[in-house]
Parts: sequence; structure tokens; C-alpha cells
Amino acid sequence: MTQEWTIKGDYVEACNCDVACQCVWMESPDDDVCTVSLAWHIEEGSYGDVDLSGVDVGMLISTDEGVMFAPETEWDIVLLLDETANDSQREALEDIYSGRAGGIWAPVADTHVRSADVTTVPISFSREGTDFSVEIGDAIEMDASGAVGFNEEVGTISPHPLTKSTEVQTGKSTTATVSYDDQFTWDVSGNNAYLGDFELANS
Amino acid sequence: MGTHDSFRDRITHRRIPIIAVVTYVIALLAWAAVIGRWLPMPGGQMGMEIHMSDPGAPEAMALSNGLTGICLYLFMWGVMMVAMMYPSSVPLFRLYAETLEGTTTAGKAMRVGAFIGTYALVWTVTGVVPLVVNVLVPIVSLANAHGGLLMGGSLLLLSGYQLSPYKYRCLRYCRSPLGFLLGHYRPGVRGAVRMSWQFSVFCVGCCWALFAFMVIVGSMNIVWMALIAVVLSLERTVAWGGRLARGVGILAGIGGSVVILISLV
Repeated sequence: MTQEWTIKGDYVEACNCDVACQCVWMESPDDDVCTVSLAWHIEEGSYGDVDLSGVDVGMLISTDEGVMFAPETEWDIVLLLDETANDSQREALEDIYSGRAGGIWAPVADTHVRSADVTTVPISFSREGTDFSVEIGDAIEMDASGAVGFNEEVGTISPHPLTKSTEVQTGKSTTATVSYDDQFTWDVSGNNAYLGDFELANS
Repeated sequence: MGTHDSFRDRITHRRIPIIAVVTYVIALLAWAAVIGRWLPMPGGQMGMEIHMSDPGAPEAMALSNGLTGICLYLFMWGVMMVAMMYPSSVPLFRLYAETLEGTTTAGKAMRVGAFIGTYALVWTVTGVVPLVVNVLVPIVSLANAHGGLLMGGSLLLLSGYQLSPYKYRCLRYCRSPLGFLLGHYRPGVRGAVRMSWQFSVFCVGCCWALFAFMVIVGSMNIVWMALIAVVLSLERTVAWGGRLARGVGILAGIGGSVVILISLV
């Protein structure tokens, strides 16, 4: 039984594209494939009666060749859930991020997701302003900071699907390594990162 | 750790295409209303010799019947827009409805209703444009005096727009419903209205030149309505839609030039 849900908090992603990743303009990624790790720290959230505050989530996406959001491009994903979450929180997060519970992930799953692994791991997520540091089990290590432009301002990109304002801040990873299995192993350090606040809901 | 079966298979199995069916039925009713002349027409009961499919005829009749005429014209225009635009919008309506999984049935109906309702409303309001144009330059008398030039000119306008980067930019959004949702998704009924408004703007941006051409050939001309509906649906849905848009632009350019040359000779 799916429920109404809303989650918001801190978000960071690190991918193989040069700064800044062009998928948000619906153009082909560098190397023509997208290998990206994404992480969310949910500050406030609920799924029906289930409180999701304080829980972390990670995701790995590896796409076919071509424009990431083109209808024919298929993705393989790995969903990494916080081991400190209890059973109902984990079920809720799996429902949300697999697209079973509506929100933006539902059309994404319908249109793109070919396969999905779900696993539970320890996650540490820290943020200071625009400096992010995320460690997810042995699978993901991600350190990223905002990319500063003129006037010492961090750049922004819009529209990005995962934020309420549809705007994210541009950043660069210092570390962005993934070692999950044969398919999900890469080192894309020094490339694009998008970061900032996120807010998602299904109603 | 567990590997799941393809999400797509699972979702497809349990989905009944309610949104698609409802949308197609609405569009079908709208076509029936236009073809079967179910709609009250301004001045229609006077048994005049004017055909509604003639260039400028519906606009002239609307304007000669005051506010009632204008309202009836906009209503007719709105029904026509639903008939022509809804079928090709089904992919977006369907994906949007999926985002509402977990919401109550009434909540879903409200949001989907707000989404497709706003879309119909924005397109209905665009009917003001042919009326205003007709106030400035009566299309009927222009079509009688300079039919060739009018037709050729509107074809050249269509050609210019179809081949312009603006057309391409708008069409890209219309062609990628998921891409649009990812960039513009907002929760709630207000979110639905807002998204639908933004989508309508791209949609109007994509198709206005086709409709300008349609007004010139007769805004209630069923044959042209059907042809244009097919063209704009293919532009938005098939893989070669972008090339079709350019092809239509080139054809309109050649056609427009020929028509103008003939009428000048």
C-alpha cells in the first residue's frame, strides 16, 4: 500500500562528465555513458506514518550509450540504504526510490530502469556549506565542493529534477570512486558534482 | 541484497491505461462535436450562405454577434484544440499520473484534472489571437481580394517558423515528456496547474504557426484540422519527428513561393 510522502534535506552527486554535466540539457554525457553516484541525507521526511528524518540514501546509475533522458536509454541502478534505518523506513525508502510510490521516480523507473539492486550498508554523510563528504560502505567514496565563479559565488544550474527550486549548485569532486561489482566500478574523481538542498514528494 | 525483476515489467502488468483511455475518449468526443456540428454557432441559426469551413468565416460570425459570439467562438476553438492536441499529449499525462501513485483517488483526479484542464484552457485562450487579427484585418475580405497572397504569405510564415531554432527548442520539450517532468515537476494541485501552464507555453510555442496557417485556410475546415493534427502528433511522438518538422517547413516554403508567384503573374 503506497502512501503520500515527502522528503527534503541535503543532496550531492558525482559523475563522469566534465564540469558541468550536460544531462540536464538533455545532451549526451562525456564518454556517451553516464556513471554517477548520488547521495541524499534526509533531514525531514515522512512516508505515510513512517518518519524518515535523519536517514541517508545512496544510488548508483550506469546507463546505456546516448542521451541519459532519451526514451530509449536504459539504466542499471543500485540502491544503497542506510543500515541505521529500521525495517519500515527501509521499505519506505525502497518504495520511493524504486518508483513504486509515485513522485518523479515513478516515470523514471517506467521509462529507464532496466535492473535494480538494493542493498543495506553503513552510510556517513557530512556537509558544511558547499563541502560534501560521503562514504557508503565499501561501495562509494565521494568528496565534492562547490565550483566558485566570479564574485566568489558558487555557480548554479537549472532545471535539475531533484530540487524544489529546480536549481542545483555546480561543484567538482575531489574523490568520486565506486567499487560495488564488475559493472559498478569506476574512479571519476575530479569531474562534475552537483550539490545543494533537495525536496521531493509524490502528491 | 536482492536483485529485482525489471521495474518496467512489473509496472506495465498492473497498470490499466485509464489516463490514456479517458484522454482519447475526450479527444474523440471533441472531434465528434466539431464534425457533427454539435456546438452552438454564433449566427448559425440564421441559415446564412456562409460555410464555417471558409477562411475567416467563424471569426467574422463571432465578431458580428458580440460577446456571445466571441464566447461561442472560444468554446468552439477550445473543443477543436482538445480534439487536436490531446492525443499527442497522452504520454505526458500518463507519466504525470504515475508520479501521483500513493495519493488518494480523489487527489489524483483533482491533479490530473487540473493538469489537462489548464492545458485545454491555455489553448482555448489562444483563440483570442485569430479574433484580434480579424478585427484588425477581416480575413474574409482579404481572402476574397488577395487569396493567393494571403495563402502564400502564411505558408512562408509557417516555413520560416518551422525551420527556426525556436521551433526546435519548444519541440524538444514536447518530444520528451519525461525530460519535461524532470525539469518542472511540482507537487500538489497548484503544482499541476503550474506545470501544465509551463508545458502549454512550450506547446503553443511549438504549434502556433501551424494554427496560424489553419486560420487562413479556415479554422473549422475539417480536412485541414485532421492533416495538421496528424503532422503535429507525428512531430511530437515519432523518432523522425524533428526531421518531419523541417520537412514541413521546406514544403511550406516551396508551396508558399509557388502560390505567391502564381498569384502575382
